[in-house]
Amino acid sequence: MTTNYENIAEAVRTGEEDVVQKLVHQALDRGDSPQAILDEALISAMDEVGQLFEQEEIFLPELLVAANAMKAGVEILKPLLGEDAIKSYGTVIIGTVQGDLHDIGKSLVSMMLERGGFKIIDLGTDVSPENFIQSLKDNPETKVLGMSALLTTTMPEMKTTIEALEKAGLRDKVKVIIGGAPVTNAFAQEIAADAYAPDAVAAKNIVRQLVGEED
Amino acid sequence: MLIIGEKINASRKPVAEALGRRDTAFITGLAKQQVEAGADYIDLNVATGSGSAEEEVLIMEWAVETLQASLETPLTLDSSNPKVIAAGLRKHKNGVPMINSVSAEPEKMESLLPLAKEFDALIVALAMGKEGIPADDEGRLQACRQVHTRAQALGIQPGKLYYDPLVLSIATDTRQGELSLKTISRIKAELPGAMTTMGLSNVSFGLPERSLLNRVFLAMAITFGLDSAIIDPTDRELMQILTAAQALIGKDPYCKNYIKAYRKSRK
Repeated sequence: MTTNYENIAEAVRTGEEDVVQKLVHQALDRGDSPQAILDEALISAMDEVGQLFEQEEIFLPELLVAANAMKAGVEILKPLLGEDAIKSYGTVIIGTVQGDLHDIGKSLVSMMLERGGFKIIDLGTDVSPENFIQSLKDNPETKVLGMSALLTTTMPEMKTTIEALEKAGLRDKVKVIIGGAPVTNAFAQEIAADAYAPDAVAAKNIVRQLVGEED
Repeated sequence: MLIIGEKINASRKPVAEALGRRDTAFITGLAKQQVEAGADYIDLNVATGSGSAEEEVLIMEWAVETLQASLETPLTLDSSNPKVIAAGLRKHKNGVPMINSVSAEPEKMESLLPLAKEFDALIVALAMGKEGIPADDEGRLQACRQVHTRAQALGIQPGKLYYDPLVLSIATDTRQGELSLKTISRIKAELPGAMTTMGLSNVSFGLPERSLLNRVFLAMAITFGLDSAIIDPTDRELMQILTAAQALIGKDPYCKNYIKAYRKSRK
């Protein structure tokens, strides 16, 4: 990694949007490829931030600030790369299950996946099995379906959704990952989900594994 | 201050396991521990997530009967399923039961408020409707007003209702703490006779030293008129803050509880 990218990583970590933008412009002026800046500077910086968050070296507000700073850098690169040309690990549909309005954890996972190079379709909260399925049909390239539940009373909706996927003949088209405070690995196995993630950073790594893009 | 002990909640794994094997000693022990620490009510949430609604009804009935066999403290029946709450109410014998929780969602109000009336129960009412948690204090007040109006129509006294202003994390939006406090003071000012309660811990999600934030937030909420808290009463530092804040705001005549707590701690 060049010195310039270390600077960018530091600016992402401390959440200095204007510094990130200045350094990204400098790198472009120097002739670096936008793709390299995206992968080696911004995405890798965000991976590092995610790790620090997981180790409780930094905390949620700092993670959000870093994510915004990274986005400021991505905004400069986007027109140069073209929206579709940005290398993507694939599409992930995500939502909090029906009857459950918890948003924070699910949105964190969305954010980490997006910053980690995935295209995210976030269906929000209180998402019915029908809505998950409709979105899958509308976006046939989707590789992973993520579901969140924060209530023991809404956890069974995950099972209902997986059964609905089977009925619709879509179960083998996507990998299903689940999470949320009361959710466990044992529960994921019980309802035949493909994976369970205990937190947003783990979710990013596990989803990369699920689509065969391990670090 | 009405203290509701939050520890018997099936979203905590050891509790779910104990409920699953109908472990009388574990569940009773957890309740007694909280009563000794100052709980006025023991919250009972028995939804383990993998069982059916029928199973939740059976566990609720078992837990209510089991706890009441050796405990006089009344219970807070906590479920998103009105049938589970109804089952708990029918088994409840010791004192005034409490329902946790109704919201401004019409189905919730229509199923739970008549039950509250029938069993003369206290009720926790969440400041939200069908569309989720309102983003501002006016939206939350609106939800409370709907419950207040419907309860009055059914002849339920306003003081039976404990409105929960709801708390979100300040880690993702720093206005959330103030919003909950403002909602508490507006409930007290605008719904005559209404009571307020709150769970604290959401406020600190995603931040270090959460218990510090929770403690200070409790003291602030008491200043804004909080009447009840859903907490872990075995958290000594939290209870110290609660006792001191109550004395400082003039809700502890002759500072009796404050002094009593001091003597107890000296032993």
